[in-house]
Amino acid sequence: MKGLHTLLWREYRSSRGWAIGLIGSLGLWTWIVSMINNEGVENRLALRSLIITVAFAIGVIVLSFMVGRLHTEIKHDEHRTLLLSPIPGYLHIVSRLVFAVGVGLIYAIGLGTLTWWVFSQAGAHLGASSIMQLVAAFPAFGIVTLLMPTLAWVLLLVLFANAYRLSHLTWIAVIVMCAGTPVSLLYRGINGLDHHLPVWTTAPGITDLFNRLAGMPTQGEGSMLTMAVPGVVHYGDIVGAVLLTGLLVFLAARLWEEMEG
Amino acid sequence: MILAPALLSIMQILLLVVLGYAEYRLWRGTSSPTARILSLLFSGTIAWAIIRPFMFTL
Repeated sequence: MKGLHTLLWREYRSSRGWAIGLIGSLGLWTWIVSMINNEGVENRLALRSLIITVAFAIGVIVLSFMVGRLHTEIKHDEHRTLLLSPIPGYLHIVSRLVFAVGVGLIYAIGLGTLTWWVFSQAGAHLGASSIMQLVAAFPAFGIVTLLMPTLAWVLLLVLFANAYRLSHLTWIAVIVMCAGTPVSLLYRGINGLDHHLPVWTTAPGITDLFNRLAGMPTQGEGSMLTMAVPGVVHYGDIVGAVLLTGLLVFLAARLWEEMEG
Repeated sequence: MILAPALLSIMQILLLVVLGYAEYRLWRGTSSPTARILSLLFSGTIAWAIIRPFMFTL
């Protein structure tokens, strides 16, 4: 594990500009969200939520480019300086993934905190469970189900393309992998794990707000006591995403060992 | 009406030929067994996606 510490330190040194820039952008998003003063609580809530979703998507893209810089590093043989003490291939992959996921988690928690502020501005009476759900549970869920597999896929893409660097076929490899991945996911059924699993329900504070905005009673007959988030939030997604990430990291590590080890 | 399915089949055959050539180049273009298996997997699933609608029309 000593190698992992060295690689994490190295990753911090080479990517801290990206990390600080991304986390610093939370200030910009906060300013943009606070500038929205549309008429009507529903409009304000919808627009602010949209901006936070866009901010999360931009964060995923930025982090993908951050880990994708591995391509340039391999091209310039920058990691060769570490070969005096050989480090297993999977540690190279895991260190990059862990650093990027850590930065992503901080960013997502920041966005979750912003969401908490947006909901409290919309008049939601949030208890401890609602706050924990917005600030910790949803961001962690987004990181595990969306960011982790995406970054592992980007690392595999870089190493798969790198396997064809000498024969100058990287562009064919990239096209085949980019076209083949969605088809593979479709037919392999990894995302189908969640079909028979229970849905994640939102905490009462958030549910009350939606009940109120929808003009429904917050308690008793006709109210939505726990509002399920249909088709998106499933415990099965977590299992599927972790398995998928593990598989992608394993394949990327094998490629590293075969090409660079 | 008669030409449409035939043209579709020709398109599919052309795509398969291009894919087959790309896979051949990828197989020859690396010494990494994992990269070869991955390229086969991706090309295979793309080929399956191309062939599948064709099979239903037979």
